[in-house]
Amino acid sequence: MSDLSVKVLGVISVKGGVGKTTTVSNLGVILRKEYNISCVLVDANISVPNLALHMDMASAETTLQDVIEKEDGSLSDAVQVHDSGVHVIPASFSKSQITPGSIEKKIKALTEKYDLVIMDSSPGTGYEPLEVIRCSDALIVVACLDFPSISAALKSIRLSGEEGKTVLGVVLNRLKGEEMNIDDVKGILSEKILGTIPEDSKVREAISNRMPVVLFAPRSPASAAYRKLAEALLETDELKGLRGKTNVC
Amino acid sequence: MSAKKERDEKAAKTANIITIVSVKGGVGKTTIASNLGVILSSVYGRKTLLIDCDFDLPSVGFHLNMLDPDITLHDVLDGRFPLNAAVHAHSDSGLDVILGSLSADSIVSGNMAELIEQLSNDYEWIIIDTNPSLDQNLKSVIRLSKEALIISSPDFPSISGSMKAIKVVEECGIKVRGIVLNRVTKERYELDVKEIEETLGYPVISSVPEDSKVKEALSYKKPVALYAPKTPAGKELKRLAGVLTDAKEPNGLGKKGLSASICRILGR
Repeated sequence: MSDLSVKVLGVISVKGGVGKTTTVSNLGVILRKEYNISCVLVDANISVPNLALHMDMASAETTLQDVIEKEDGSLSDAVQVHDSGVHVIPASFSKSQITPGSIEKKIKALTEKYDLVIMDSSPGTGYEPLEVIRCSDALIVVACLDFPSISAALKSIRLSGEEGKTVLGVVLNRLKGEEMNIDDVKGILSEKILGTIPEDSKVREAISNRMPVVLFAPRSPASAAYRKLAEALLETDELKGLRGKTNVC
Repeated sequence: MSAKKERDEKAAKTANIITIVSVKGGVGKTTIASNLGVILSSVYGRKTLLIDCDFDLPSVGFHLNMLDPDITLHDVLDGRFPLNAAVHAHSDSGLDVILGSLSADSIVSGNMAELIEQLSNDYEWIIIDTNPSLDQNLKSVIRLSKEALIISSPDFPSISGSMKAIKVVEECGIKVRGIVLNRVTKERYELDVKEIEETLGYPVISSVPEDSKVKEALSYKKPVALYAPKTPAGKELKRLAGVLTDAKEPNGLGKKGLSASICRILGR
């Protein structure tokens, strides 16, 4: 048990396809492998679970849905260990619905076992992303640099605020150079830019190999950017306490 | 207008209502929807309406430079304004558009059916853009259409989303018109069209190439079909619109065998 303010970090975006799952899987691997932080990644995208596809863990027998609908089910029972050492709770592809509030009820027990829980979310504004926001102590918003995506980021920030949750900042993904000005976007969103990830074909290639890019192509530009993002996160007041933790599961 | 004349007109004109579906976000639903809309309207001369039914995050306005509409779908569904007040013309193409409200909270599409019925007499094509969440809103919108176009990228997460989308469309009793692959790079690691067709059980009716002009067009709030019609993506979208208007195009593969290699990876 520790006194860190942030135990559960949610990764959200009202717009889909901006790179939430890619951010979750790569951050998880870096925090575990390079900082030795005990963390567990939870796929709370119940409608279209993707995390296991990114990490080649799609054949898991026990999933999130199996444990949360059981009165005495514990989230720890659905934990799988990835090759990198990071722990993962995959969601079932075939059970598309859960009772709202059911993850929130069980998340606390998980925070007692791990220093950090990172939650992946589905897009939209429905009960699935709301569940992630409610479970989380703080949130990261992922966006690309285009108008629909930035308007989605604003909405994500607003939703978090309505639930009384802190947004640590925004990750800008798939940057290619010719887009909106980053300073303008920073002004529009009034949030810290935690990291900028360049467009990099290695990310897609890594997904097709079902590996996070930081493992598949550690020297690629995107991998370097994800490492910088991890470093920036660990510099925030909310997460700096994770540094030097040795509570390895 | 007499009741008889009204009936006759209804018989003569009932729109092809096609819903653009993907439960994975960011694959290009709104890009495809807005481009098909402007192409059907300006290239093929079909009277076409595009409705933004992404209640979570309506984005059609960003693609067509129709931001800040005075009256939106939300206003009509709330009963504050009549339906025709929410129809806005896209000046560059002649496409009619019903936009969503960016500021309103998500709403349920309870009386959409009545609305669509009124509209289907006035248009040859109605294209419905949707949200990527697998919720009741999406299902009720799908049920209003005659057919659904499944949008996917050629990667595992997206194909697994498309399997779910197809299941939902089939459960709604609506015909799957086909698969549109978007952002196709033809890189060696990309999933192969044959494998995708075998996995999903429906034909890939279009492969829209990755094309930087699409993003550039979006930054100018113009569909690529108008901004750069001669680019690879612009040309393919035009071809796709042609395929949709061509009744002879086959609608199914006839068999539904799952590609063993993809299924293994998807864990089923």
